[in-house]
Order: sequence, then structure tokens, then C-alpha cells
Amino acid sequence: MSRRTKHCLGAGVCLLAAGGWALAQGATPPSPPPADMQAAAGGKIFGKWCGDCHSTPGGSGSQALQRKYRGDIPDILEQRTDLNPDYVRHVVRHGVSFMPSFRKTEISDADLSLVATYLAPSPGRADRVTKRP
Amino acid sequence: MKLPPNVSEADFTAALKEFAAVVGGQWLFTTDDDLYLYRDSYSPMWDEADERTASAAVAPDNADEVVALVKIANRYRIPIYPISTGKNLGYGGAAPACAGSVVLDLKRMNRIVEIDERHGYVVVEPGVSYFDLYNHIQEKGLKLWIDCPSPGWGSVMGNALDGGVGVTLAPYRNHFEAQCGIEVVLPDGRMMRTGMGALPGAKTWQQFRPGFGPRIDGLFKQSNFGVVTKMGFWLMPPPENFTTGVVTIPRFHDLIPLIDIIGRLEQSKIVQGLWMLSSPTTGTRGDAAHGGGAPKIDPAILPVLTDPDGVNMDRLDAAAQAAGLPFWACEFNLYGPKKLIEAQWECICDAVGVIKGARFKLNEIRKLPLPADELKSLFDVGQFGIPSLRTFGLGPMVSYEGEDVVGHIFFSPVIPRTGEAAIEAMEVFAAIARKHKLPYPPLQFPSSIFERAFLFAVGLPVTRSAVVNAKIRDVFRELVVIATARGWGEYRTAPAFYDLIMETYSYNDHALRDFLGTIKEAVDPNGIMSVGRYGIWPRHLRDAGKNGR
Repeated sequence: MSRRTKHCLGAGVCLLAAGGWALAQGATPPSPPPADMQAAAGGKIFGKWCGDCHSTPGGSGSQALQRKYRGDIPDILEQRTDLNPDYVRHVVRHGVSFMPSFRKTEISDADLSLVATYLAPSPGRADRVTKRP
Repeated sequence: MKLPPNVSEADFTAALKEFAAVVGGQWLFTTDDDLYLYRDSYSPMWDEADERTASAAVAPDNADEVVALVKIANRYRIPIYPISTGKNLGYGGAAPACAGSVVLDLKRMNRIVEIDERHGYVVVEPGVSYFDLYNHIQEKGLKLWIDCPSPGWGSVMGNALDGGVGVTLAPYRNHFEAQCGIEVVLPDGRMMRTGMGALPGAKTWQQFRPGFGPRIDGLFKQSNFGVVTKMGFWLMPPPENFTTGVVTIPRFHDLIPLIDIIGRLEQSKIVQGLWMLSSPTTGTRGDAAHGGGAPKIDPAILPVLTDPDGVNMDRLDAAAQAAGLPFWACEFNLYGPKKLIEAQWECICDAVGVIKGARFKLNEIRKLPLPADELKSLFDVGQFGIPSLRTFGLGPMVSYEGEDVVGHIFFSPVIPRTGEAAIEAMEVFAAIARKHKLPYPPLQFPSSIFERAFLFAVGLPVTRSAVVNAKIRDVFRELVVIATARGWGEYRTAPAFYDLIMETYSYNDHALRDFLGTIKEAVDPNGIMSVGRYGIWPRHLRDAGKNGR
């Protein structure tokens, strides 16, 4: 029997990316969600857009950072504790080396802020880093 | 305010206002910061006066909004340039071919409209990436495989429209050939469906390609004559097993009968998976399957490979013989039931066995899917229908002429699927690489990715130095001249070279280009659609094309 599904990735991605509370640009923001929800949402967006290059030692972004820093700082972004949110936003919007820029139709400003927060130094972030091997 | 060509500020302002009314103000982009995102990160003309940048970008959510936007653009005669995911890096990215165009950013249209396991097809919108489609199939547990290129953030539709290819089975690798049914918004804003889709309520739109009457799907490849808003693709059932089989042959000129034999096996549909050439003399993969790792380069061979005058193939042949190494290795990807793989391999061994000294090794036949941990450890997973971005880790060119390399462009000629052509291409392109000190390995090999011809793609470095980029453009032009003189044409190129390449397709005083121009005038009389893409210009902007040659 034929299996047919109709599925809107747009809505799916929006819910996935921002834990169900991310807003379309231009809407009035409600109260900020708890920090752990923000981190979870930022982590999901990071996984979708950045993880393939930046979450494993063999990722092409990790390899590039290994060449650049020669192990002085971690190659894997989630293990870094020096990433300023403004710097993260700048790199995503301008690209660096082989990494191209990303448009707002790919990563919205709201989602980019969540990623920047996810990668920024914070108590929760320190916990995350220590859990990694 | 940057204006589109031949459009007044008043008209452009009015059009932008109407665009915003269709999509909402947040999806119309006009500031410098926002338009920076519509530059080609890998542009070989970065920051030069001739870099082709957008005047605005507008991002619709659905096909009805595309219709409305195209009608507005047509009324004001504003060139629009559709992109899908905008990640066609090396071939243009998200930037337009004609400076001042309004980019029609279709990334928000990311719906998987229909996926049918029984008949093996999917209908997608432009913004659906290979990652999206793969993840959807996994989440739903569907028994389907996709064929994906590297990298996986590309659009399923956009890749096909730009002639892109994948790495699994031959009927699925050429993505435009794997499509079945197109929905397109024509330059006057009218929506049309091709093939069986022209029949209201059609039940076989994605099952019968020819349709009724002339088959016109190819006209919409490259989006010169309309904005494609939906496209169907044939998908394959997941193969039960996978393995590779490696053939080695001893002598350099054995390549000629080898390619002929494989060609007959492919034409007979016995060989359907991708196969990769390599040379054990360089320790490249292929031979690795024989010994569990790439062999070290023999000390007697190394001086031949590193000769500043280039690799002399006769000397390399003799050195390989002396070292007891076969000159060529050919690794076949084999898919399907175990007994089919074994039968295919037996046919390959029988056929290639006529070459004296040929040796064969079939690796362990593995049940699919492979364990997740094992997949993680592989350099590439495209052969398993899994998208990734791992290709960016492949031999990066870190610097060239003292400048950091930030990207690449591809010189992508199609050459005959013969050993003679492969040898000739290896020699002539290696000579260019030596001449310009391009950081390539000593031997480069043609790709079998197309069914009946070789692709010999050469990646050229892009920097942020105008001087170095100008040199690379000169190298590119030199390559085009050399290839064209041998009857080798490029199948795809970056916008900086659209007109140069179109110029080479000049049979009978440019009959093809003139015919396309005739269609352009008939279908798109106001010249708004994908202006300049692949060298197709409306009459009133053809001077811009001439300047690009």
C-alpha cells in the first residue's frame, strides 16, 4: 500500500529549531524563556546548521580550526569557552575562510542569537563542556 | 540605492513596496548588511567593480507568492534571479548573474509536498535540502534512499536544475535526469505543470516522464524561462547490501582496454554503481582495499612523482613495474542483494580478466545500514545516500600565491569515456597545474559520475586578493581554450564564466545561443527571468553579456 505523507518542513523546522517558542521576525516577543530552554533550542539549531562541520574532530570546520590554532584552543566549537556572541553572529553573517555566510532565510536573527548564546561562556555551558570526553 | 539595469528609482521603489506587500516587510531585504548575504562567498571577483551583486532580495513562502512577485517584476521589468538554498558554492552561491537583479530567495519554501514509498518518488519545493529530505525519510521510517551530492545543504531541486550529480546508482546520479514533473511560474506570472501534471487531477505526474506532446522539462533547467516551484524526483529502495570490489591492472596503457570493458558493462546495466580510478603508485585509495591502508610511496617511485617537469608516465610505468606495483586500481561500488553483488562481481572479473595481469578483490559484503559509529568514522557517506558536509575536509587548498584560500571554483569539462581521453586530460591539465604552481597531487583522475562520459573537474582556488583572483580567472580561460580545442565542453560553470562558456558552444554561428534567445524573447519578452544565467540574455541587456566574455 502506498504511504503518502504531507509535511511542512517550514513549521517543523521552526518548532524544532526554537523549542516551539521561537518567533517569526517582527512579532512582539513574550517573556524570555528559561536559560535551559534557550540552551536546548540553541543546541538544536547549532546541530542542524553547524554540527556537521564543527561538532566532531573530523568535521571540516574542526580541521580548519586545528590548522589555524594548532591545538592551542579546542577544535570543536562546543568545547570553546572564548566565543563572544557578537563574534559568532559576525562569523555566521560574514563567513570565514571556507565557511560561507548564512542568510536570514536560513538562520533567522532570532535563531542566530540562540546559537550565539548556546556557544557563549556560561555556567550551563561549562557543565556541557565538562560532560564531553 | 542600487538599481536594477534599465529601471528607474521611482519604479524600483514602487516595485519594492509591492514586493513587501506580498511577502511581508521582514522578507524583503534591501540594506547593505542584508545584501551582503546575497554575495557569492566563493566569488572570483570579490570586491571588484564587476562583482555581480543584488539590488534587493525577496523571500516568498509559497508558490502563490511567487506568482504575485513575478507579475510585479514583469510589470516593472525588474530582473529577478531565483535561488533555492543558495549554497551552490563554486558555481555561484546566492549571487545573481546580472548585477542589480533582485534575488528571489526560495529557501522559505521548504515543504516536502508528497513522498510516495510505493512508487518511489518525492515532490519537493525549492528550499528542501538533502539534509531535510534525508531526515524526513528517517523520521518517517520510509524505505527510500536519496542520491545526494556533497555537500548536503544543497537544494534537491536547485542541484538538479543546475545539472548536479550524486554518487549512488547510475539512474539516480544525474539529478535532472531523475526528475519527473515540474511546476513552474512563467515570466508573465502564469503557473504551468509539465508532463502528466498538465492533466488536472493527474494520477501519474511523477510516474510518466514523456507526458503529451514535446517534452519541455529541459527548458527549465537553469531557470532561464521560469521559476520552478515544485519538482518530482524518483527515489530508490534502500539496497540490502554494499561492498566494493577492486581491480588492479599492471601497465599504464592497460587503462584503454579497462575503460572500454567497463563501458560495455555499464551500457549493459551490469555495472551501475560509481567506480573510482586511482593509482597505487601514489598510494591513493583503491589500493587501500587490498591491504587495509594506503601503501607508502616506494622510494624509487617518489622522484618520478615529484619531478618538477611533471610525471613522465613511461618512467612511472617502469618504476611501478620495478616496484611490483600495479599502475591502476579501479574500485567499484556494488549494491543490492548478496547474490546480485556476487553475480555482478563475477561478470566484472570475467570481462576485465582478459587484461593480462589483472587482479581482483571483492571486499566483505556488508548488510545495510552500517552501524552509526562506523558511519561516523568514514570520510564520506554519500555512497550510502547520506548527506554530509565532509567534502569540505577533502584536501583543502590552504594558500595560493601567498594568499589564504577562501573557496574554489570548478572548471568542469566533460571528456570522452575512453582511456585515451583520460590520459590526454591528465597530461594537459597537469601541465597547466605545473605552469601555474597549483597545489594538486601528482596524478588526477577523471570521474565516472556521468553514465557515458567522464567528468574531469578541476578545482581552482579563490582568495580575497583581486590580483590572485585575476590570475585564477586567466588560468580558467586558458583551461577553456585548451579544452575547447580538443572538443571538450564544460557542463556547468561559475557566473563569472557563463558567457565565456556559452561562447564555446558556437556550432553553426551560435545556432544554439540564437535559438535560446528566440525562446527568451517569446517566453520572457520583458527579459526579467534569471537574466544572464548560463549566458542567456534578453535582447536589451545583451551588451552586459558581451562584456562578460
